[in-house]
Amino acid sequence: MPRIATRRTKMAPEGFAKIEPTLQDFEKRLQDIQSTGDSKVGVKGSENLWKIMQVHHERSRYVYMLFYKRKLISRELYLWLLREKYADKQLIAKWRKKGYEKLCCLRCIQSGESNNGTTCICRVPRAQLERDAEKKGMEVTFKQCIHCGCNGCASTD
Amino acid sequence: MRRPWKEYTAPNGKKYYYNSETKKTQWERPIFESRVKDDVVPVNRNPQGSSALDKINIPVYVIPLSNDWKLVIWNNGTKFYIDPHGKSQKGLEDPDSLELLDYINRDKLILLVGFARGYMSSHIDPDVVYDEILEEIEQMKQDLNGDKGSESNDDIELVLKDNKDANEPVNEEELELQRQLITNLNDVDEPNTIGNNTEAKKKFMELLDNFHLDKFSTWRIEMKKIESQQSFFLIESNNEREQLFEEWCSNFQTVNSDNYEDGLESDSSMDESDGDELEPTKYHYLSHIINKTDITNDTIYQDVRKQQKSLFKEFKIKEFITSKKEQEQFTSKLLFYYKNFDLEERKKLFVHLINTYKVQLSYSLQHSLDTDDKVGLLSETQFRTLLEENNSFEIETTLLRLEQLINVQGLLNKLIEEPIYYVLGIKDKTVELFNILNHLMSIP
Repeated sequence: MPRIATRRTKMAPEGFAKIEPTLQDFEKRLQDIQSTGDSKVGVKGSENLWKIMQVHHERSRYVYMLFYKRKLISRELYLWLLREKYADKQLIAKWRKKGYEKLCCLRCIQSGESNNGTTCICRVPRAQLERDAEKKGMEVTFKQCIHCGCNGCASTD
Repeated sequence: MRRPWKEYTAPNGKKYYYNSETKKTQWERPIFESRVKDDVVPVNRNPQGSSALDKINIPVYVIPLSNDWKLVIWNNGTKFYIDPHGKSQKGLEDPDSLELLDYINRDKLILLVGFARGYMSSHIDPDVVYDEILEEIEQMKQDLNGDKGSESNDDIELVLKDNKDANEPVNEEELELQRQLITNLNDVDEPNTIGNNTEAKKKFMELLDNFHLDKFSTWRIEMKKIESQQSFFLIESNNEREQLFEEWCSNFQTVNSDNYEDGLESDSSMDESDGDELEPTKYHYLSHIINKTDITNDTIYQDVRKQQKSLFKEFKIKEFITSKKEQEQFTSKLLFYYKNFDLEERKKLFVHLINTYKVQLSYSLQHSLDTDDKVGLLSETQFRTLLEENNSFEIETTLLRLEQLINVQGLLNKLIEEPIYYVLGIKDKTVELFNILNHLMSIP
């Protein structure tokens, strides 16, 4: 979530006006999610949270793309956006590393937090999942991970 | 210190500001706020939109016709005719030239228009095609002058065929290629049959260029502007589309001067819809009914329904909007505008809305002008007399014709879902729409 603008907040650098409508659209989406209540069904309880994670991911991705791929915004504006928390700094830092180009969220690579001491299942490449399932003679059962609702974020996917 | 201004959200999602000291309401963000937010950027999502109209157009090919008329093809694919006095005209008023144009090989003309728009091909040289057309016209002029009228259509076509054979060496491959190119340009065939993936990608990129999408935006937002287009579906998966969009955005700085335009596509679909009789938009009659109702501050949908029961039946509202819930939703949205804004303000809102769709609008307009010579638009004076007569049926027909002209069911289908599009009564709406279109047409 972006920081609340106060009197002490630095003014947005030049070029912010061009991306503002898009950022507002993201904010609107977040509001819409908030206005729909959580489902009472146990398994669906965290779905709204997933949606929030998704918007957060998309917004960070948007800022990342603008600066690193499309090269349309200045470094000054990029840093300002990071400081005002329009984008997740840590997540973007991971995207710049090899093998983490499509990472969904930071929690999915925290091996220390999981029971088996491994990363989340959404980090496993789809091809490998299919291969393993074939060995066991089953279908791939994985649909979405429980942390953020990601359905696969390996770089090869 | 207490701040007098407070921010609220209107039912349409837009923010407005209320000053608790002066009891004033306004849409604009008050200026003395600590963070300057480039005061009220209008909702226009794509800044390139306005500049699209004043892009420089260059004539590329000139084809002399009979009686000193000339056909000029511009680099955005539009056609103009130059009359003997050297003035440019939209329509061709010379019967001889018209006849001549009828006999020219259409495919080659289309190919030429394609080249004018920047279509490149390694196999076919645009100059050769141009020369061929010129030659053909020379031939035809002689033929037509030789025995005026006595020759039947078939004979001329025969001459044409001989001509073609003489000009081109019998090269099956070349011909085949050319045919393929033409079908691609025309897009008459189903797009899925084009097996060539790079071709599809190229067309898709052209589509992105055509609509001047906002390169500062996300695919999720921008795709809504073009998802009704045929070439949109050339790329099958959305992921791939998004990737292409990103690619397009990232190489924007290097190629922004190239503007391909591809208005030749979806000709067939346009013709189909033109054949139908005038069809009102979904909310057309309902908005008309609401306009006729006297609205007080506490009017709700049920009141409107009670008051105008007969009209509801007469206009068969049920057939347009089947669900009652939707009727109610739309009515309450409209009632909001009727209660809070007077006529002038509503007119402003309407014009503002139309302006946000300017790019799509001018594109559709151009398209229907290109494909149709008989444009169903009245002249200024005719329109005024029509208004004075106050013949409501005629006015409504004019409105529907205007809507058909800009093809609201196609490209602008998002526009006709907006409640603001309906905040005016039929007469006011026609006037405003007519003015806007007139303005757009005056800019070539």
